[in-house]
This record gives sequence, structure tokens and C-alpha cells, in this order.
Amino acid sequence: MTDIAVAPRRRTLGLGRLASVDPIFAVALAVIGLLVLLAVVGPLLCPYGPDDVDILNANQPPSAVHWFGTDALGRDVFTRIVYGARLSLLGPAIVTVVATVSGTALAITGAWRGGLLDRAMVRVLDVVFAFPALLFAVLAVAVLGTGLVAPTIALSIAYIPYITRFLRSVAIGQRNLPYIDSAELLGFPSMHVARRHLLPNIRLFIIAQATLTFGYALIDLAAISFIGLGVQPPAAEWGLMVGDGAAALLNGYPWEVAAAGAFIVIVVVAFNIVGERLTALAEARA
Amino acid sequence: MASDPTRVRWVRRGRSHLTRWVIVPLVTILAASLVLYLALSLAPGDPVVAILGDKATAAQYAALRHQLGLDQPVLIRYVHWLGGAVHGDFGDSLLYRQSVASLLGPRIGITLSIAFYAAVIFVTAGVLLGILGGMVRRLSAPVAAVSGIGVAVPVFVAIQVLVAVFAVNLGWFPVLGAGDGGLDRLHHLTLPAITLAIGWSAYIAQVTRSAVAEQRRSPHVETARGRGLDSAWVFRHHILRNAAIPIVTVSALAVAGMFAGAVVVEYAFGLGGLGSLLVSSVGSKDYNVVLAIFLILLIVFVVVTTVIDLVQVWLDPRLRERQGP
Repeated sequence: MTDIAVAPRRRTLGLGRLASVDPIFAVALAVIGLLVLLAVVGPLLCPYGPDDVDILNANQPPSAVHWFGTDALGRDVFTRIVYGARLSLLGPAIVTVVATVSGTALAITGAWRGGLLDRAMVRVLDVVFAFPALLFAVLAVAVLGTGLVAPTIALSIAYIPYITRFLRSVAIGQRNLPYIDSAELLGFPSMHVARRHLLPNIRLFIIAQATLTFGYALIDLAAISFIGLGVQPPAAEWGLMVGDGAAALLNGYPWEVAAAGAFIVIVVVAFNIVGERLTALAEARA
Repeated sequence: MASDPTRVRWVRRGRSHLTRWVIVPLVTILAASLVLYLALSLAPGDPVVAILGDKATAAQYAALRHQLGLDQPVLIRYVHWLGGAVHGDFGDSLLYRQSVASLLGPRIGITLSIAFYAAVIFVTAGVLLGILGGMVRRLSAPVAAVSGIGVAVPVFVAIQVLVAVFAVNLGWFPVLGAGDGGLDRLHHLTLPAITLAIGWSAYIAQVTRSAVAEQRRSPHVETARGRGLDSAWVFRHHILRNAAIPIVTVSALAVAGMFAGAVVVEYAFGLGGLGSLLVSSVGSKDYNVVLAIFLILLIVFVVVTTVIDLVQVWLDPRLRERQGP
């Protein structure tokens, strides 16, 4: 028995076409691509190690030798940004995958089953939703200790309500469309309908939510490192670098703070732009 | 009498209101506080060893363990802790060797001052910016761009930028401390409050802009305008009245969410509030303090979400019959 295509199936997401008519979207996408490239192969380009201390050349301004200058211990800021990209992006990537998969599963289950289960789920999610993710991460650190593990676990849980709430309303909207009715009338089991018919039709919404989640998770994880409860020195991580450079900044050497701060903001803006454009595209197609 | 339909409806509605706005919030606080207590009881480290050091005898450990009630099952300890907390007794801080309540007292004022100061800033700036962006077509794109960047700037980056510009270069504001009350306090808290408010101002501006723009294009507003009503009247009674629902909701969520940002801001500016105490207590494993601060935050969030629900119903009577959000 073959599937009956009641709704048009798209093989590709059509992002290339969106990028060709929307230059801002294209730039944001390129920034994300470059960044991933930087995290993967970047360390090969660095002539220094991330922990190479050179106290005689501390707090140097940007130059041909040190592209982004040096920090208070004379470490090359560009090198630390590049190495830091791995830790700074790894945490948000894990949070995004875990929260998106769990959130999607909960949203579809809630929208499909309805009833008491759905109402209880919404109630619990509302409570978790109101509690800021950052404080959730602080609580996890209190239980599990400092480092990247505790806040990553906490944020993976704390972001589920955001994704679930949004996708649940999308799924409920799709539920009332003829293609779902047709599939159910044909007697397909509801999990089959959800997986083969609903999921492909809401995947753009899911990707959009995941993209936005990545940006928020990056900010929260960097904030945890900034207040000293996350990644510990001397590891290179962007949030830690912003905090680490505060003393040098007060003495008039802003290089470390400026580089790490700028990278965080550029990356988050890029992810936000892509996430918002994808949401708009998904809404326009729905 | 029970057959009188209006009376039955009234009684049922009265009960559902009590459930929705009193019982559910209370149960939520209780359940969440239990989860909180159980989670922190799993944390490693033994308070008895922390107090006596590792040189004491087994009998001394056992005696102190008994004295602190640590030989009881965790649920019994939870009930004791909650019973004390209701009376404002959160036990003693292991690090400061004084009662948690006496530690929290002076610090709550600082946190509330920053939070209130920041809330005034972000509600004013966010709503004004959003209305401008929503009502004036030429300002729509600039407001969208500025608020788009504003929500992406993390609090801790904003802190460094503002400190570099206004404290280091211009010397207008102090970098550390909370000041000595009165105008000095206001002066010290201005930079922290502004940094705390930036992200939320931008977020509220976004929500306000899209809500106002949506109402402005809606049929009921075009009808009102078509009937020749004064444009200021249309703005106040047709656009703002409807746009107010999402604006009030996100503003209230912002007030709750701001306490997370306050942790970062207090830490960075060295302000002795609840947030910086939370960070240092997590670092030093001073769990009685951590528990007390989280319980306070928990209550704040549940109260805020309940108030949001009440205000939404007040603004939009259509929600009155709904059984909880």
C-alpha cells in the first residue's frame, strides 16, 4: 500500500530561493556557515595555542601579528575566539537538538491525544515556562557542580516548553486541515498520520524554532560562564572571555571583551534573523 | 434553591475562580518547592563535615547530624523546612554562620530597587518605541532593526559596553557598589538598571510594534476611522485597548524574567543583592541560602503568572469562561 499524497510534498525546503530574494537572510546564513567552518577547521589557521601565555605582550591592540589583540596574560585573542567557538557552540547545539526533539514529540502527542493529558501538559509547561531558563541552569549547577554539563542539561529541559507551546498550536491548526482528515478516514493509525503526513508539513516550523532556540541557548550558556558557574578558566569560551576581560577593560584595554562580545552578538543576531525568516516563510506556506 | 439556574452557575463560577487563582497557584508552589528541595538534597557535600571540618569524631558528627535533623528522611526534612519557611525561618547559612533570614533582609531591598528601576525603564522605553514603530510607517523598519539587535545583546555584553562608555570613558557613573541610599543609591543603580532593561525594552518594543500595527490594519479600526472618529480617540479606545493584552502580558513576564538578568547584573556590578548572593552561595555550596532564594523566586513567578492571568481576563472578558490558560 502506498501513501496517498493529499498535501503537496516538498523535497527541499526552498531556502536557496529565499536566500536569493532576501539578502539579509543570505548574509545571516553565510555567517552561520562560516562560523561552523571556523569551529571545525579554524584552529589549523592559528599560529598560537589558546593557552600560550606571553606576559610581555599583554593587552596588545589588534595588529598584523595579533589580529584581535592579546588579553591580560598576553594570549592571542583571535586564537582563543576560534578555539572558544567549539565550546561556545557545542552546548547550544546539544540544547537545541534535545529540546527540539522532545518539544516536537510532546507537541504532537498533546495535539493528537487532547483531553486530560494535553491539559495537564499545558499546565506543567506553563509553570516551567515562567521560570527563567538561566535560573534553572543556576539550580542545576547547585546540584551537579560547575561546568558545561549541568547548565546544558538544565537548558535542554527549560527550553522544551517554548518549543512545545508553539508547535502544539501549529499542530492543532494542521489537524483541522483536509489532508489529515483524509488520511485518518483512510484508516491510517494516528501515529502514522502524525509521522508521515503532519511532520513533513510542519518541519519548517520545527527548524525555525530550533534556530531561535540555538541563539537563546548560546546567550544563557555564555551568561552562566560569565558569572563563573559554567566553563572554568583557563578554557577558552566566549562568555568566560567577556567576564575575564572586564578588569582589562577598566584599565582601558577592551580587546578581549570587544572580540568575544562582538562574536556573541553577531552569531545570535544571525540565528535570530534566520529563525524569524523561516517562521515567516513557514507561516506564508501554511 | 439549588434548582435556580443562575445560582448554580454563580456557585460553579465562584468555585472555578477560587481554583484558578488561589488553589492552583498554591499547589504549584508546593509541588515546585518539593522538587526544589529534593533536587538540592541530591547535591554532593555533607553540611556536617562543612561545619565541623574533617577532624571531628564520629560521635560529634552524629550528634550534629541529629541536632540539624539530617538523620531524618528527606520528606520529613522538607516538611520541617517548609514549616520554618512559612514563618520566615530558612535555617542558618553555613558560610556566614548567621540565619539566612538576616542575610536576605538587607539584600532584598537592593534587588527590588534594581528590578523596579529597570521595570520603569523598560516599560516606558519599550512601549513608547513600539507605539512609534507601529503607528508611524517611516519608523517601522528602524524600530524593528534596533529592537532586533537589542534582544540579541546579552545582558553581560551590554554591561561591558555601558561600563566602558559611561563609567570608564565619560566617568558619569560608578562601576561598583550600590551607594549609600537616597540619590547616591539612584546614581549607583542607574547603569545596572539600564543594562538590565535593554533586552526587555527591545522585546517589549517588538511585541508592541506588531500588536499596534496589527490592530491599526484591522477592520474594526478602519470602521471606526471610516465613521469619522477622532484619530486620538481611535488610538486610545480601539488600537491601544486591544493591543494592551499582549503588551501587558509580556511586560509582566519581563518583570519575572528580569530576576534572571538581575543575577548577572548584580554579579557584574558587585551589588549585594539576592542575585549575587545566589551566585556566591551556589559556588560555596551554602544550600540553605540557595534554597531560600529559589523559594522566593518561585513564589514571585507563580504570583506574577497568576496576576497576568487575572489582568488578561480583566482586559479581555472573552477569556472569563475559560478553564485556566
